[in-house]
Amino acid sequence: MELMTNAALYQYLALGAVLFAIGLVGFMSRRNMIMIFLSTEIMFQGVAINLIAFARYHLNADGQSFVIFLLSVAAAEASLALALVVLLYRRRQTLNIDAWSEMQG
Amino acid sequence: MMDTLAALTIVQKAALIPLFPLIAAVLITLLGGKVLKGLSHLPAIAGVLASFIVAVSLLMSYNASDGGLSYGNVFTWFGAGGFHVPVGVYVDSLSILFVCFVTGISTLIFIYSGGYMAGDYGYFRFFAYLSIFVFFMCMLVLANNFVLVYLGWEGVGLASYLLVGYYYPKPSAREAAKKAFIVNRIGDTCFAIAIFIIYLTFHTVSFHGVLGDPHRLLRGSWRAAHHTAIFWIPLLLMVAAFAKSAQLPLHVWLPDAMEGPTPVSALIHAATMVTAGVYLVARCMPLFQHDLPVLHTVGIIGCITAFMAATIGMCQYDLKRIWAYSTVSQLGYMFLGLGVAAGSAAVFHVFTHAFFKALLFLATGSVMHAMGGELDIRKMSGIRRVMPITTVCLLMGAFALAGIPPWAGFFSKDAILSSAMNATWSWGPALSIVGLLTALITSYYTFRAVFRVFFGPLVLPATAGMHEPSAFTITDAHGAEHNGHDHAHDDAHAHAGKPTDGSPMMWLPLIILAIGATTVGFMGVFGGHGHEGGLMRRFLAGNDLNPAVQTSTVGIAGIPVTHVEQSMRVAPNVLMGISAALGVLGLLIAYYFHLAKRDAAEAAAARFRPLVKFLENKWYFDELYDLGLVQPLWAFGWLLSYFDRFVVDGLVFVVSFVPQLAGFSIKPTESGRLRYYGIGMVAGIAVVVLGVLYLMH
Repeated sequence: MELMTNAALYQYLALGAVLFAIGLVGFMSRRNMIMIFLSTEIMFQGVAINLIAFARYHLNADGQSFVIFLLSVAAAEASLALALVVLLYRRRQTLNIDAWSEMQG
Repeated sequence: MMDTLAALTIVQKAALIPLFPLIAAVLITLLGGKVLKGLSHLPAIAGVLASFIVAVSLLMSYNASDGGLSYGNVFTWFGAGGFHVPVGVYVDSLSILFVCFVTGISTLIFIYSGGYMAGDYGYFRFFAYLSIFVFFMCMLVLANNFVLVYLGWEGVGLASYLLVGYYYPKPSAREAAKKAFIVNRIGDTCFAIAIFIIYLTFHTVSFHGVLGDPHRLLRGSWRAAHHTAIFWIPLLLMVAAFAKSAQLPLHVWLPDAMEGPTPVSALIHAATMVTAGVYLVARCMPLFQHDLPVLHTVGIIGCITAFMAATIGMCQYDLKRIWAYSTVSQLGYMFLGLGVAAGSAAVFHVFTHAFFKALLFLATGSVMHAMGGELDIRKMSGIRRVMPITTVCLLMGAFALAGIPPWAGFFSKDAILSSAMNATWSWGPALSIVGLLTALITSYYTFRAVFRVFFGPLVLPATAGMHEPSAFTITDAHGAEHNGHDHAHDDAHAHAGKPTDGSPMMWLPLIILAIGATTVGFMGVFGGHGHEGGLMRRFLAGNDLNPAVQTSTVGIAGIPVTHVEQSMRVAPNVLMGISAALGVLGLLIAYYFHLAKRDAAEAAAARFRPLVKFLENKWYFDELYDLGLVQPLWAFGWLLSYFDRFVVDGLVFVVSFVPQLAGFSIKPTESGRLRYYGIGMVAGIAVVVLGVLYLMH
């Protein structure tokens, strides 16, 4: 397998960074709980792309296997998080996260 | 039972004595409320009677000729390192005498209480307290070390507190109980410190180790090495004894202690409480013997107390209060006897006093019972017509208290006065003369009360024949009154309006005590086989209660004290004559003023109004305490309360204000909105990352 050039690596890293930034901005600006959750997932993917890019750059499988774990854990966590969202929705009949702001000082 | 008893050793027998009242107390406490109820007096009487039987068998097996002292440990109470406190007994003539009269008098008082307290609310509670009282007193007089004595000492204090405050719904009873406890605390503290010093000095707390070697106490080098301790130990023990035995200025609790039921007064005054102080000083005589300033203080305070209390007794109107002051006065005599190193005379007086004072209080209890709780001697007269048995019995006690021959008090009081008169100490005669004057006053106030209450025209208070209103009467929400007496009791006493001697349970003990008060004095003159002081002195001879006290401390260095022979100042027989004459004189004065011409008494009282007022107010001792101690303590308490409220609380407020302020300042950041937390998190990470990057370059 031929080596990846530094320029190619930078493109992948840039894609990861953009995905992470999109997710982060979404997390901070959205009010819909499902959208917030999706934003965190997008941040996850940004990180995962970084890991795969470095794995390919260094020609070893550690990063890739790590990502497989990451994806499976994220899937489990997604099921829990969505279940929580459903529960929260049932309580307040809304998905607006601002309905859950009693814990203020 | 006697065969079984005979097989036991002296130590085993002595250890049994406190056990019975303890078992009775536990039994009554556990079963009294639900099972025994009105029969609660039976285990109590059985317990104390069993103790008395064992005590008498101990007396029978006691043999003075072989030194007479037995001691032994039963088990170890507690220990730490080299320090062990055993539970054990110390049996010699002194403790045998005490335990015999304590259990004997208590038995009679318990029987009387069964009749007197019948139907009272908390009947079982009363007998549980009485039993525990006797248990602790037996521990006190039988213990073989100072710590165990201290247990008994505190125990009788506790029991007296509970019993004086028995009618706790009455504020005066609560006050009296607290007063007794707090005043006793002064003595208890001194006793505790004395025990600490004893341990530091002797490295043991056992009587055998401390008192068993009188020669060591005399050795010059030893005395020089411990000169501070051998001054302070007797001094502190003296204060302890003064608090327990109601001597000046710690006597104030005893007259108030009559707030308890009358049998309790009899127990406290005669058997189980105030005699403890006399016992302690008599027991520790070897320690006092060479500390003359303290020994003399004991004598002087005793003498002043005897005189003071007798004068107060002249102007009291409550029958029980008169007897209470007479107790303080007679205890003063006992300490006078101890102070002139006439311990056997003092102990003899304790013994006779137990009989006639128990008798006087119990007879007064019968009067109180018949008169519906009234005891003011101005409100009754001539009640011998309705209470003949009580009158005769009380008269025997009065003769004994007044020191009229041949009643018991005469001989024991005379033994003390004679010892004081002929003491080597030069103040002895002066104290003896004050004692004689006190004897005159004693006779007067005793018969003042007797002639007023029992003789003359019959006058009964309005409450006569009614039940004393129970202290436990409470009004419930519907306004109906419940009182402590149960209905069976009211039916049994359906003699409404007619005061009597009461049930045989009440007058039989009186008769036995009256016989005792009349006869026990002869032990002081007969049966001595040539010994001066009779059977009693001979019995106590093994105890060295009458040490030959040196008049100066110069000769002490290394030389055992030998008896200092000196000529008698006044022959005992002459003194006896004077003492008897004064007793009769007091009786005659009382007869004139309080039976023959009662108007004359009022006129005389009016003429000496300021003096009478001074005596009626008990020398203003309570007021002095109030002014000198209570009020300053209140003021100090207020001061501390304000210090607490403003200074301490202020500091606490300031300290708590700092974190409060800090919390308040950052509180707005906790908005409860998720996205702001997210922003905060990202900003935090950004700061850290940028900071790290900045530092790396």
